[in-house]
Amino acid sequence: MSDYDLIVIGGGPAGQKAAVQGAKAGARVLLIERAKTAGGACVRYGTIPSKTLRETALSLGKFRKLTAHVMDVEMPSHLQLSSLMERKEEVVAAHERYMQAQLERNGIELRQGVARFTSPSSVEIALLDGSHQSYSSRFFVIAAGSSPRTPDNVPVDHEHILDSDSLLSLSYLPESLVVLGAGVIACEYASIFAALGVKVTIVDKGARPLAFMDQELVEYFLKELRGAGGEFLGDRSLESVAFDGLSSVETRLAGGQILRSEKLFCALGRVAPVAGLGLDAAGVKVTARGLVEVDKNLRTSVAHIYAAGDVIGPPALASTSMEQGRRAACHALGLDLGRQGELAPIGIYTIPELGSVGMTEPQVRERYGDVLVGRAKFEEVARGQISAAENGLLKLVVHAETGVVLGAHAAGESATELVHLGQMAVISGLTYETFIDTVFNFPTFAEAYRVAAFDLLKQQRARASAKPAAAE
Amino acid sequence: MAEAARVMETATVPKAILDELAWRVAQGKVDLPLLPGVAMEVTNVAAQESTDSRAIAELLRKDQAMAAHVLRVVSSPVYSGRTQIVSLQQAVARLGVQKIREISLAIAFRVGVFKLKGFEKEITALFQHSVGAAMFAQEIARSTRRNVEDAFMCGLLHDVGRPVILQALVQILAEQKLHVSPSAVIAATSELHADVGGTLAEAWGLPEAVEMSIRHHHSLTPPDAHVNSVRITALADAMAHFTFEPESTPEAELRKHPALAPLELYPEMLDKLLAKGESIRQAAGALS
Repeated sequence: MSDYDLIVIGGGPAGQKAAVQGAKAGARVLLIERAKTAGGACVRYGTIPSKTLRETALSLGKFRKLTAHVMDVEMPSHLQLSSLMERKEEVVAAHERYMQAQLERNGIELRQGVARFTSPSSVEIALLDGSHQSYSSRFFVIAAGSSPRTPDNVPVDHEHILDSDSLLSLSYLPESLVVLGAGVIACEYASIFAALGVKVTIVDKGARPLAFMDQELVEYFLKELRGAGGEFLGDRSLESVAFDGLSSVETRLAGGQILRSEKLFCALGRVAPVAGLGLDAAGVKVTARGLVEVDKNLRTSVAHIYAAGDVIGPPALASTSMEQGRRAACHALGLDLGRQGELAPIGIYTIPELGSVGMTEPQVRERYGDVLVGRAKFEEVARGQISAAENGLLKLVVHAETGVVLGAHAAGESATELVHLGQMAVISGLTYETFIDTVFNFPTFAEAYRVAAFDLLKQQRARASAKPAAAE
Repeated sequence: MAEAARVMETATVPKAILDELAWRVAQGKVDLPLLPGVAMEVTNVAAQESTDSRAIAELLRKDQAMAAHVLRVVSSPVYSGRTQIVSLQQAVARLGVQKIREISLAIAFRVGVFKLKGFEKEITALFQHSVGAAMFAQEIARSTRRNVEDAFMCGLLHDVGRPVILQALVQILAEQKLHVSPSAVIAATSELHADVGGTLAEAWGLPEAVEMSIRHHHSLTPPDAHVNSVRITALADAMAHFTFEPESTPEAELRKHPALAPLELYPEMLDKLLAKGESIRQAAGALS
């Protein structure tokens, strides 16, 4: 008989949800986590700390706007980052307490250590004191997370040249920051530091940041970044990065351009820590990109071993990782998977934030040959004016003939919350007219759905009236 | 009675001498001189406009007395405005190397050099240890993704009370014509260095993390806000002792250090840190 029904390796969003789901189904669950408490990089280095700092940065800027600069908040030129991060410690501690309580409430055993497979049915845990323990289980979920990728030509020293694990360890705000990469992590931190008064320069090989997002929305992010003194350098090839031994980091780009900054933040992707997991001993296959290979049910090449979260690759968002963890545990234990995972939204916490759910305009056009897009600028919404958040846009993507909502995409304040309304519409197969016929609270950002719906109505009527004329 | 006859010898530092030391510390009447070699090097390097700017920065990073003095000066409102400068790196970046050069030169001329006849070996070892602890501290910080600059400063200055006490005690004893055994002077220095160093750091306006690391690197009981700085400093202190004087800190003891578990330093991570010992020993040794 196995020691456990389910052993989960890694206590981040995916692992935690897998463990909780398993325990709720009555399984004996062991959660193995390298750190003292569950949470993973999400709580320690990623989602929670960065969003907490973001709120602080946003509040400073917003206070000025909301008081019409009558009460100005002056940012000290050498503001210490650690003072801005004081709230982070409280938020992280509160989140850790919550997760610890959740694990205890569900009877999940938490063991601090580093796990590696010794066979397809057993793992060995290396403990902090150097001793080892071995356990067997009927099922496993690998949710070991990821760590920042460090290219050979970027000598990350966590002092002058930092990655996402060390960026928030800075105790003072640098005067300038070069950000390598233009993905989610790169753009989120670029936004935050720019809002705090740091001269930010994003450098990327791609022509545009956040290439997977609706570029009309991305323009809102770029506008805000430029407004804060930042810039985006696209189509650039990196040659080398080096600290000059004195006070600045030199970034050399192909073509001879040299950027100098007080600090550099390398955000060129993340890698899964597959090397230390003993996957060979378990027989688990790894992809050419170094990710754990899984099928649509999150099952690895070994039937009773599952994987979820960053370790299986994109989108590597906390929200999707949680769902993957839950689904992995459900499938392992023979539970109904439900429909939750079929339509996961994307939330990017840049300034302004970007939210997206469902199909994009090009995707709908490609599949159905035609598309209608209703737009609502936040400046047209009373709440946008009141909240000094006019820099925003909601796009409602619908089927051109039926008007069925297929996607919702937003940039601006509360965009990541706002798209949930669109998500419900997509899941329920609603048409955009629903938003015209429905009364919302006023003033709210949700009003943008009505504005976008009226825009769609206008477009459909224009098309309808244009058709007979064309026929003549 | 002849002058020499008034010299008394005691096996421990008399309470009156310790009281005098405490009074001088409280009054700010103690010095943190430079090593003679360092003072000369600073004078040479900083006085030459043609010197590579990096040489100045490197010099500051490798001497606890120079580092403390420079940090003290640049932390004053004259230089830092309303926000404290918390590291040498930040000071160089903010003020520019020319300003740091001028400050260093002024310090070298102003603060004087140690006059510690009979304690030359100890004072050299103290400075060597502080550099070793600083280098270990920054490596620990790198491994645990904590602030490397803060860790370096805390490591470099954690024992700053020792040379100050040593200098002051030798001076007071000479003034009062008392002779105390060197081992008693060293023991008193060890006993008092955390409190005295902390008091000085506070008076000098050094960053709070540095002050807490000085005060608590043996007791490991700091306020929450600086607990990890203190843990890193305490572990770096132990690793430097292990590296420079292995007999004082056996490896088995080091592997049970109370800061390891809270810092989540697993044995293989400690192995990697200890593997840097030889290069750190050589780098710190080159300074003496």
